[in-house]
Amino acid sequence: MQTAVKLKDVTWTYSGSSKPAIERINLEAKKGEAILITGPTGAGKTTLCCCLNGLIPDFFPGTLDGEVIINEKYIPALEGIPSLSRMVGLVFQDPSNQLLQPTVVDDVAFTLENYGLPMSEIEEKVRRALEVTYLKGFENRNPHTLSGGEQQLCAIASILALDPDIYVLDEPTANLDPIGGAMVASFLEKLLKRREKTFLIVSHRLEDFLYWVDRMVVMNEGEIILNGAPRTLLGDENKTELMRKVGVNLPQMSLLTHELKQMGIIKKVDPLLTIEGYAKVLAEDLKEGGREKVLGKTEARKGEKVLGKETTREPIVKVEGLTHIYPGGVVALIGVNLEIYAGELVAFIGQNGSGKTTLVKHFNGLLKPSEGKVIVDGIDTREVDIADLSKIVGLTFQNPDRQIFNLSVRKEVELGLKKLRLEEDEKKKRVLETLEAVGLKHAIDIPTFSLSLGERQRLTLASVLVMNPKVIVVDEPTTGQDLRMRLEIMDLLKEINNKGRTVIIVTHDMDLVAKYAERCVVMHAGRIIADGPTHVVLSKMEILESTRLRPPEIARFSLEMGSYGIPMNFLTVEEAISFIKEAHRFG
Amino acid sequence: MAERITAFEYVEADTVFHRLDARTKFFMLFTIMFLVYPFVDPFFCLMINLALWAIAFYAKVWKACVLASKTVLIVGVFFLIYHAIVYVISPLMQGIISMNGVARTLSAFYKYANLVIDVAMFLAFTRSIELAIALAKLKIPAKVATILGVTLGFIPVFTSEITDVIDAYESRGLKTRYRNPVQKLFALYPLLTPVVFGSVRRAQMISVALECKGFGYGGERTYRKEIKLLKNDYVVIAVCIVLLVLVSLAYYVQLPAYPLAEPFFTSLFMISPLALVAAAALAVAYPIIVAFWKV
Repeated sequence: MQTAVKLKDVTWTYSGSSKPAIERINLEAKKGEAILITGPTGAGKTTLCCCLNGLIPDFFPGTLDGEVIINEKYIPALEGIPSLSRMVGLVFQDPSNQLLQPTVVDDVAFTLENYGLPMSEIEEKVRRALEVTYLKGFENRNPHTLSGGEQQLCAIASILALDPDIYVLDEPTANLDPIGGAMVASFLEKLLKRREKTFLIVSHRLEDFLYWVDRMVVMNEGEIILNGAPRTLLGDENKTELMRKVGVNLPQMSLLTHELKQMGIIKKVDPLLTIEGYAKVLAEDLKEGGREKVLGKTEARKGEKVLGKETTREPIVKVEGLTHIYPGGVVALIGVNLEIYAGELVAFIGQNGSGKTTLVKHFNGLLKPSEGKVIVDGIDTREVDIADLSKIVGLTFQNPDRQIFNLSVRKEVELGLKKLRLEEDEKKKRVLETLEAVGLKHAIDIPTFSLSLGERQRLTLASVLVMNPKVIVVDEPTTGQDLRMRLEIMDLLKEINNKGRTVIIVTHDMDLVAKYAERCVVMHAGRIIADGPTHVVLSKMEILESTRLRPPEIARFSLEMGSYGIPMNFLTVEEAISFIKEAHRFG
Repeated sequence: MAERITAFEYVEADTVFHRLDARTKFFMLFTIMFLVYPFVDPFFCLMINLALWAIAFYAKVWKACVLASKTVLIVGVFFLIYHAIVYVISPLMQGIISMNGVARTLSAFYKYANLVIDVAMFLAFTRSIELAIALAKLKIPAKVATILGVTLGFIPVFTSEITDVIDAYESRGLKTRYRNPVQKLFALYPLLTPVVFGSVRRAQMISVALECKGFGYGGERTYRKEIKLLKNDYVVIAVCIVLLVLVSLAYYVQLPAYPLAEPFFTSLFMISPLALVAAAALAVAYPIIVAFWKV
């Protein structure tokens, strides 16, 4: 079979860097093969992708050693990017940066126009690409107004129209809601079935791709540390443990199997079994000796504990009949009613454009209600300005680079204190304490631009925390980050919450919602469609699916167990393990 | 939900103005620019201003024009202050009351406002891709036309980025909304860091995307659709030519308003020749609107 991609001892060092971004990479992909590449942030995955269509070394300056060969004869360094892009279609993580034209149809046609294809051929290829990517009917929409999943499909459609031999997709589902991610993955799976094209997919979200790719490559610190069939790698305890150690975001069911195997509770299970398959295996195991009865009792206790919490406290944020209409007439919120209690950790979930960000912008007065009111800590937000409300509600956004206003870490944290009229000593003390709390004390004199993405994310949190607000609102804190960084940020928020502050998170990341949030608010088309304890909300599959969300694998697994007469309500792998362990101990 | 309207962005609608060939729209844009600049009579500028708002209304893009005017109002205020200092306050300190200076100051502000509305209106009913095709048809190199089209297409993305930056800054309790333009300018200064860094990063990402989409492949670039002038285009072009001729005539016969003859104030109660030109311009613009409205 023809070799589509061959990398032989490839080492690339970015100009100005002393350490290679990738080192001695050897990788081959056959025609018709699908390879999933994963690993923590900074492992060199994107650099590897850039080597395949000539962006390295043509666009980015640096030193390349070794050989990259495409379709057995083309060498990217000699071909040039535009020429090679006809063979290697590259799609990046953030689709918004790749949508360059004002309508979907123009964007898909753009690549073909650049290659000078005749008008009739362009029309036909665009029509086909839009059809297979389910974008028919969206032709005249501005691609920037589409949902994340649709935007990514549009980016893929423009590559698809060109019909390259090799598809390189760098984090194609990272910015998408769960259903959007599944939509893109299922489309790629269908495309692969014809076995005419080669796919190299970089992703942290393994569960989207793991079940149908041929091979999985794990990278760490610029090197390939594992390369093999997913079933083989995940079936091997040592390799699974290694993946966990380097921070690979393993699918929850694989993680559960791994843990249960290590504890000797189960012996041999296919690591790529479906949720239904797992449920069947575990149900049979638990029913031996009536262990399932223990689980039922434990579940009831958990439900009582969470539901009892909100009735005993005064709301710190109270939203009454809130409607918000943007200039231009867009109705973003319609009659929203909500109470958030002091000390809660609440997650706002919902697809893009559902009104989550618009709602939280009312909490600190960035937006004022068109109708209704928002009361924060007893203050009507219509009567005070942002400067006053920001002392009570600290709000940070997704992209740290849009929130860092100084080149010095110290000055950046001090910025919010300007208006607080504090003594100099008090200011210094607060800055130091806050930086210590977010683990950045060591970086106080370091320029902000030299911090890593995770550190910059923590710096934006510090800049808000230093003002000592009662409520912290964090909008999409973990999008596009690897497991280690996501957990790092969420642990920090949990710690802040444990110290008594109210924390509100706006996110798509259902795994983290399940793991950290006590309460979950689901929004759809400007309205709240579900609100309650996380384990209750995440069990409402129909509601979640109507807003393009899906509970984490483990939560779906626990629901599936219900069909075997074993009621469970796991939200995290840790909970599942402890329940199953308990059942085995008492059963 | 309806789509959100942003300043300097295409507004989805199906009006006669939207349907015009981009070359015609270009011609209209430059005709209005030409109308705006030669005269200093504020009365004339005001009439052009009203005509522009009327066009914006019938093209269903007036909201985008209002937003655009608000967005760049601060620059207009600076124009006003600068001209007031140079042409009104300075002579006043020497004991001279210059009505000419007042006229010039007011007209500078109107000229600026007219220019903003003209550009905002053009962008609101012209898609960037149409613009690129039109430029290519006008023999502008395809690379330049495409880059211009892509840049214009990204205006809303940049606008949204700047809004995010302002939101983040204000969330720290720091103000950016001052009535005093000097204070406002100082308040906006810290936003430069994230805006500049963001723009550089975004520009690099767009360059990468362009490369990956075969931009600069060589050979002749083709276009998915062909554009051609229709009846409506010829009507607008004809009206624009009439306007240009009228204004040129006014220029060549050296009407009192040109170059600086305190036109409005000296002829307040008389029929000024310049007012005639203005009335003529408006009279010509008005039928275009009505005719197109009825199409």
